[in-house]
Amino acid sequence: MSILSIAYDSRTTIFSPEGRLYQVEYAMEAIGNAGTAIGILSKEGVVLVGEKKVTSKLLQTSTSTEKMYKIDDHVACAVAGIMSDANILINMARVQAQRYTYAYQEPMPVEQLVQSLCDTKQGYTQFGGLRPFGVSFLFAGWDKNFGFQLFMSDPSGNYGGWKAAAIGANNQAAQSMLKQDYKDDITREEAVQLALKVLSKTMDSTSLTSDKLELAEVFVLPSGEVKYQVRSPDSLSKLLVKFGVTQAPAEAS
Amino acid sequence: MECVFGLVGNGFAIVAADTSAVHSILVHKSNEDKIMILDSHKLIAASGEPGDRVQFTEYIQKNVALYQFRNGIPLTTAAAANFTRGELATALRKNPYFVNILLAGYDKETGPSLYYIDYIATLHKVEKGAFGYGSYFSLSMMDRHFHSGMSVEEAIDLVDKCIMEIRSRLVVAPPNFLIKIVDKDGAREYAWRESVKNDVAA
Repeated sequence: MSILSIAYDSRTTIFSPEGRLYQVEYAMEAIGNAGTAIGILSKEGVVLVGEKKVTSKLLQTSTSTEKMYKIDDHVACAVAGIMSDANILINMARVQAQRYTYAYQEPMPVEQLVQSLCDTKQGYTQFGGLRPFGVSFLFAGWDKNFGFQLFMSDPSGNYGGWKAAAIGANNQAAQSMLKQDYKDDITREEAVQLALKVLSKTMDSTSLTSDKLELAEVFVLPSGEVKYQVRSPDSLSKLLVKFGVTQAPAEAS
Repeated sequence: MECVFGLVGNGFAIVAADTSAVHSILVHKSNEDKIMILDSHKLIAASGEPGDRVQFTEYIQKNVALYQFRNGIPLTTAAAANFTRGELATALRKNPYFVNILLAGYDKETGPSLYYIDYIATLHKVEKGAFGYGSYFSLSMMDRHFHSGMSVEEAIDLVDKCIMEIRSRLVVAPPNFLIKIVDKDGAREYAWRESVKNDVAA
């Protein structure tokens, strides 16, 4: 980082001479230290998996989640970054979804929800003098226009639709692993397996147990209703054993 | 008095409106089009305060177009109807629009539909509906002759019956009517029913 950059990095709303927005980049740095989250799109649903950073036994896990949040009946998200910032944005997304349903009596299309939240995030990079939000999101949802969708968004307010994506620590390693192993006709179960496998390889800890993870899926029930389901710790433990990712990589057979 | 009515048939929805533009005792013109094409597959037949009618329906039309430009997909008829109702409701206790609307549309997934939206933001999804003094006659005729899944010919026959009834029984009956239809192929003008010919220059 040059001396010049110091002069330009404390104001969020101006460019540096090299054409960079330092505050936005610093926000992304902050997210690089957060727990990894991975999302995979399958034709039967979207899978979100997250690495929990706070794993104290004293934590009340039954009521709250750290990485996964439901925005509306048909949209959920995984978070990486500063949790308090994430809460503000999640609340905004929830309000925007309800506002849409209030006006149109229909669920808000997933991309429109992501776009409206990203428009808000962009505002913090251009005016107001406030710092950007230190959060990246993976949005998973279903709507009648485009079926299952996965979107990734970052502090700059950019977003993209993805077949598989990773945010947080080691996201580049995770992303290249996903690129290798993802196939277009992947089933939901295979997607869960792939997500857990990739997460186990990119996580710092030596062994993967269900209390270090959160797994959520967005899928459609036979009745046509969209379901968002977070796996219980027991169900998650069983899956880890089934897919053979419980042990440390060195011990894997 | 303004007469607007409509009904849903087999794979289509049809709306008819009188074409008189009236101010007190003067008829400005008798070829005023009160059925706006909202988008490719939606029609709004509106009656009420003339200024409000044009202002409000154009406002809805432009918002519906904006949605499509922004999001790459059209609004469903139900969504457009609820949005319209919401705008009337928001304005109601400040600066109400005096406009009654029959919103007819065709959606690929759900087929034809008709929505009754009155000026105080009542919304009903209906098979047949009508506004104005003419409604006393057209609703009665439709109650007698309407059945679900009518063909275009049967529906037009019923529309003509309603127009005949209005012409013969309403004291200040409008002379001319315009009929528009919406189906899988889109929204378009179907026919005029004129008893007083209008020159283009008039």
